[in-house]
Amino acid sequence: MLYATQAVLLEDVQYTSCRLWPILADLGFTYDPAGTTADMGKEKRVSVSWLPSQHPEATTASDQSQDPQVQDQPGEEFQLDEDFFGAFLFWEDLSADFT
Amino acid sequence: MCEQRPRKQRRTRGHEQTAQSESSISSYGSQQKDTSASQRDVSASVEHGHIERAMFMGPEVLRAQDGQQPDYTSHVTGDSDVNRQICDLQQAYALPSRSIQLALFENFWENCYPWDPIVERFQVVDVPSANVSPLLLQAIFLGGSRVSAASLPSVSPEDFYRRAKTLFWTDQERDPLTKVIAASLLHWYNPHGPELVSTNTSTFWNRIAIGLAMQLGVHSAQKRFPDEGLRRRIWWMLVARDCLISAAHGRPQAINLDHCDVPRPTLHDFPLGSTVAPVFVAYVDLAVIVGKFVNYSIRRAPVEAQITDTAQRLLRWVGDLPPMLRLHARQVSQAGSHTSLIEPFNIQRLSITYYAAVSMLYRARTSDDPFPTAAAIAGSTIASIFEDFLARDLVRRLSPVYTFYLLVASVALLSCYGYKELWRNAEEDLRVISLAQEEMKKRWGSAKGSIRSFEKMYAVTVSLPSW
Repeated sequence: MLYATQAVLLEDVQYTSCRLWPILADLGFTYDPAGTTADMGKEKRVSVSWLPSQHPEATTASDQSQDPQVQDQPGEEFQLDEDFFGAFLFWEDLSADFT
Repeated sequence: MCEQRPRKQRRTRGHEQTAQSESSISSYGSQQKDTSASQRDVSASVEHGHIERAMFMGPEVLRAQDGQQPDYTSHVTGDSDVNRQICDLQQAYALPSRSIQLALFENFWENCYPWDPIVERFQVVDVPSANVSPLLLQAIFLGGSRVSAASLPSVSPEDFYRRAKTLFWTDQERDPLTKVIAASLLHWYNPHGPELVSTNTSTFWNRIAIGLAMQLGVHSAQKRFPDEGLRRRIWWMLVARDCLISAAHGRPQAINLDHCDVPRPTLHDFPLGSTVAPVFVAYVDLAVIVGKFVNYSIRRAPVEAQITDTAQRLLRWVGDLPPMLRLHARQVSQAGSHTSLIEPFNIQRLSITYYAAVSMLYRARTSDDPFPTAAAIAGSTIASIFEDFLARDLVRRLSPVYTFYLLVASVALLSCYGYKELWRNAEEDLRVISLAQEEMKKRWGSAKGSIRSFEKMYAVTVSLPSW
């Protein structure tokens, strides 16, 4: 799965020919096609679920962002500010789908 | 091949062009300013060593009395007969033909300068060679020859390196700042990876340059430089490389940033309109993030702190990145709908460092960890950029640290083993990475070590019942 921080860090992957990107999308992660760079600022808040028990690194369950634009709260939904990026991805639980 | 006049003769010339060239050599970056009056000040203020020991020896009022203008000179100079004979034997002053020089200059400014923006074209190109530091010239030619597409007739990178090394160690260069600049450029030789102990590698020359820079006080805001912009570029170039080499070798850094108070470089520290400036500024910031991440690991800091702090730093970095430096800008630029002055290749090179950092940050730390999605995506992205490099014959223009980024990407992609569909695509990426490593290997011995390491990791991975 990808968490908010990771999703933000990987935003520009959509502009590359990364082979894993479409595969992961097919397998269940969601991607908002309206969220292009041109639409930044128009995009409404995007929210995804926070699943701390499934985080790749146990330590990041408490990864509480200091960035004013991203707030990851364990056990809660988090929201991205409106002026944040629009293109967003979320991977439910990759390991569960493959096992 | 022509022999360049020894530096002694260069310094005795008096016409305007010579004076300007000499100015540029002893005070790099003074660009186009009228430095004739300040030139003597440059020597006086820059050439002697920087000392701050008084801060812990006595009261503040006495501090200024220590380490000022030396009233003695060293007897160790490059003028001895033995040194001259060594230089003759090594043909240390020999220069390639003009056409080869121009090709090497072009290679240097196109491929090396974005990461080593410490010498400007006007200081050496079309300047009579007798007016330019021979050491600096050989160092620039070395960089240019290491990223050259064609094999050079009658001269090789080894020749330039041998000449520069001879000039350096026989003290043929008198200006200490030029020595720092030249030594820092000798990292381009780097004949092999960290598996061998050597006095010829990037890490060796970076540390030599750092040591000299610290003697000069390049790291300390207490020491005044006539060109602050140049000083910042030199210092932070050394810092950035120190950080990245530390990551690539898994070794401590030479520079403790707590001991340095020179501000980070900004666009104002470059010549007006420089298209390299934004790339270099972003590169330095990113390299420092990687360096801090490595320090966490070396100090065995809690994993939570490593991830949280590094992720925040990367978030800020990518958030502050000018739109023209993002991969999206490159895509738009290539489509022709937008003209960016930033070379797309530089954006891609910067991006690879970034995705390598993301991949290292979110790697699987044990084989029991859940699938490291972010690391795998970052690794696959690096492979996709290299696929573009291969298609455009750009791998030859990369510095050796990119073999490390390839290794980082390939290790992340190994995580896909055991997931059928992902592995099929990951294998494609790994093939691309393998081709890129083979291409890197033609120039950089360090690629051999990375290839061997990956082969062993791959064997272990496929032997596991499940990842």
